[in-house]
Amino acid sequence: MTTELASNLNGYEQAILAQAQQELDRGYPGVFRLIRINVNHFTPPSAIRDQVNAIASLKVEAQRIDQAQTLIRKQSELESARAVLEANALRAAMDASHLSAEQLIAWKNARAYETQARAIGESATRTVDVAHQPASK
Amino acid sequence: MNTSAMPGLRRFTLPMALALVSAVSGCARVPTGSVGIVKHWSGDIAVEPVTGFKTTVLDSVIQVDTTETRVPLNGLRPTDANGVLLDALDVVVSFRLVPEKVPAFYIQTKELDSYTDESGRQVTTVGLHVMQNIIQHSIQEVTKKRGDHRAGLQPQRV
Repeated sequence: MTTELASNLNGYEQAILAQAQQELDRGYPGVFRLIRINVNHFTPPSAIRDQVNAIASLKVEAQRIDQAQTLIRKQSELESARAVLEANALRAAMDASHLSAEQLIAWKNARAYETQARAIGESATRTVDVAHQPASK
Repeated sequence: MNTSAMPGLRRFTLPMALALVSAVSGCARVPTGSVGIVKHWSGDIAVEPVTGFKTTVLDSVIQVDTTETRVPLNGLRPTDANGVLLDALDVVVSFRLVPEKVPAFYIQTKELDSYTDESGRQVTTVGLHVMQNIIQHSIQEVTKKRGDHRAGLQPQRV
């Protein structure tokens, strides 16, 4: 109720104006001409204030969850797109090489292992063990 | 008959008559933005309002302000559809009186209100109490429809 009032104060004022003018005309036809009604201030009860604050916190949490769900959905879409791309590439490779999908995947894995092994070999650091070096002449 | 006394009598009668007339008569000046309610010596109240300069014989004129009037109503506590109280609702109502209807309203209610405005001017008007009562009732009527789903209004979010 209070959040409704705060968000639509103008509507509340207009509703009071219409209601009051109707009642005035019913009791005293044509005597009063209402010009405007301004709601300047109102205080909701403390219980309602607490409730409003709690709802505001829940809304923030709900927004955060919505954003996380959106992120997950987009990540899933990206993974799907990648899978489609790889499947199409495999299909094209099968057609071009006349190999089966299993053979192509095995070959691809073998290439990946080879690349990995080479990278490890190149990055290995050799340490000189001074204690076991032959005595210098 | 001693006619020699007549000039003296006439000399006293005419001023006395004038004094008597002036004693029971008067004049009223009703400024723009006000109307006059005429109360006859007989007790009747005229239905038609007067404006401008008005000469009265045995009558009196009540000046009533009809310019825009602001009525503050503070600390109202209406309840909504669920019975929840709204604390300290302050409103200001602006209204004006329709001049032609003022005497009839006065005849109906006999309500006459005097107050001092922001500039310290003493103002006489009618209908302030009626206005306050009806506005309070209207606010309650409108507020109690709020938060009621069945009334087809905005759904209650609290």
